[in-house]
Amino acid sequence: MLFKADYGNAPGGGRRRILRIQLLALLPVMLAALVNSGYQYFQGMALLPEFDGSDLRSRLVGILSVNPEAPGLYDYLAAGLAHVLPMLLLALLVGGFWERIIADRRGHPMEPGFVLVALLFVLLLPGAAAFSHIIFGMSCAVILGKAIFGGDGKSFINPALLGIVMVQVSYPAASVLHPLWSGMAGYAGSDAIALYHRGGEQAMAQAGIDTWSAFIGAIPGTLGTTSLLAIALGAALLLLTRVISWRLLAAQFIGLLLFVWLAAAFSDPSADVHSMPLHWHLLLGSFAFGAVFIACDPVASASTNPGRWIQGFLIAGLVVLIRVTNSTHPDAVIPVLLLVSLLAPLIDHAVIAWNIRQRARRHV
Amino acid sequence: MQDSNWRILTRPLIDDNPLTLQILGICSALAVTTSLDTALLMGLVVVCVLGLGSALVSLMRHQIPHSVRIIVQITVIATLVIVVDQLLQAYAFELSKRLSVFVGLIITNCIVLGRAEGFAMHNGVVASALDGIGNGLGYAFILILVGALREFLGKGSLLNMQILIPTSQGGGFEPLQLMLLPPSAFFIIGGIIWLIRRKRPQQVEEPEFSLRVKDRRAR
Repeated sequence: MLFKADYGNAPGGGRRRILRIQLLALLPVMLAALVNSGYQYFQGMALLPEFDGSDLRSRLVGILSVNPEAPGLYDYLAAGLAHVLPMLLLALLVGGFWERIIADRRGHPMEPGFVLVALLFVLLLPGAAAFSHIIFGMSCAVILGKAIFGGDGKSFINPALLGIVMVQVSYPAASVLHPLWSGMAGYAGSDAIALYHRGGEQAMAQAGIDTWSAFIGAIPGTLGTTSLLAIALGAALLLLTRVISWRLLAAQFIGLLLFVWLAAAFSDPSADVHSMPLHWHLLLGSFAFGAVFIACDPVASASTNPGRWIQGFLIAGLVVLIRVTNSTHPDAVIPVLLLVSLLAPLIDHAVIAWNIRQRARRHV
Repeated sequence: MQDSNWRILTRPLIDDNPLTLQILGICSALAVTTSLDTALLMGLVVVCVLGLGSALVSLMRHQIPHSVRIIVQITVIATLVIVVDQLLQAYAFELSKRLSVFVGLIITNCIVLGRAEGFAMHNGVVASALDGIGNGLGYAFILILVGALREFLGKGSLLNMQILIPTSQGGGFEPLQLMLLPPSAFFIIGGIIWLIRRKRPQQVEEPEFSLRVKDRRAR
């Protein structure tokens, strides 16, 4: 079948069921984010003697943790909760506030989609994001990303993605003294991959990042994007319930394989990043998270099967291209996803036009 | 139907605004609105050129051969724009440097040519001048709104006077970098169009197509 049914009666079921599955799929990612941000917090504390811990989130850590001197799993979880929960509550509050106003003005019940938007938005932020920036980004996400296009299921880009882009573009020079904030990537938050850009394998070894720690997600980075294991669990659920398209997902990962090989084949031997191996592309930065939860958004992705393959390859190709050639955007996933989301309707249009021509030719 | 002169002057401000209803002149609106002073100056220049241009074209309208009318209109407009550009370079050199090519590009601004062709060719001198000035004011009005918003949110200042002290100087205001980039003008103009069309629903266009609603949600 070339054309899949639209979002309203997709094989995966109605909108509410899809939303519930999407939220459920984010659960392991959330859990990993909690533990890892707590772990990174205590790790960073030791390296950041000038940090006084007087902000709200650090004081919450002080209240919740039992043994901050020699932290264990409980302390990691508590510190993670102290960081993620206020951000998530604020994002939900802001999203709910706008959703309420819009629902009142348009005379329909509140749409639940903002919960997913808030969750994705927070998971794409560094753990030390300023509260004012969350308010700004979430407002942009709900109003500009969703409401003006008609609400849930009608926008052509993922609202959370728009919110993140707005925050990244608006506050490129934001800086805070905090263990969960490195000066390297700011709101792009792709610390580990920025580190690779600077020092290659050596820097990875120095920072104690190996394949296993990156796989389970014990590396610095934006909250939800570090653990490939948790993302894979979420992806498995989304694939089994057919909420996301396996073609689009496969296209992105096969594309990554292909373009990493191409980049290595045509690399300049003096530049480490050109031959950055595939596993680092997958493990560092936010490619996997973006591929599963943002690019495969059932609303904003291409909805024809050839279109899905094209979109997936386009994402992978652009990500690899920007990563290996432009060190000012070490991660590149967020801007690429935005660009390709905008192109998705065009890709569909081209595929449909092509299909119509083929069929017309067959029945002369 | 002949509109009163007052109506001709005021209609382009909101009801028939060249920027928000006819979506003309967007290019310069993105480029010159990073600060209020350039927006003000650009607005003033366009008001002058539009008013004078429409009046001159209207004066000459019976002498202009139909087949070359666009060329004659462009010549009139280009003459005015060059004069204004030279005046700016003579008396406001700094500002004219910041406006760069956008003064010269008024020649190709669709609003100017549109008013000359669409109104001044068929109407008297006074009405044409008022129509030109009104459209210029409508353009300037949106430009000033966008310029003020962008300068205030992007730098915390208005007309280069610091109102909010940015964090880099120890204040509590965090400048919104986005506002200094051209896309922000798109968002702001879009927002203004949204607001105007909420107040004036007759401006809302018919949707070209609508979504088919298949799943029945509880309404």
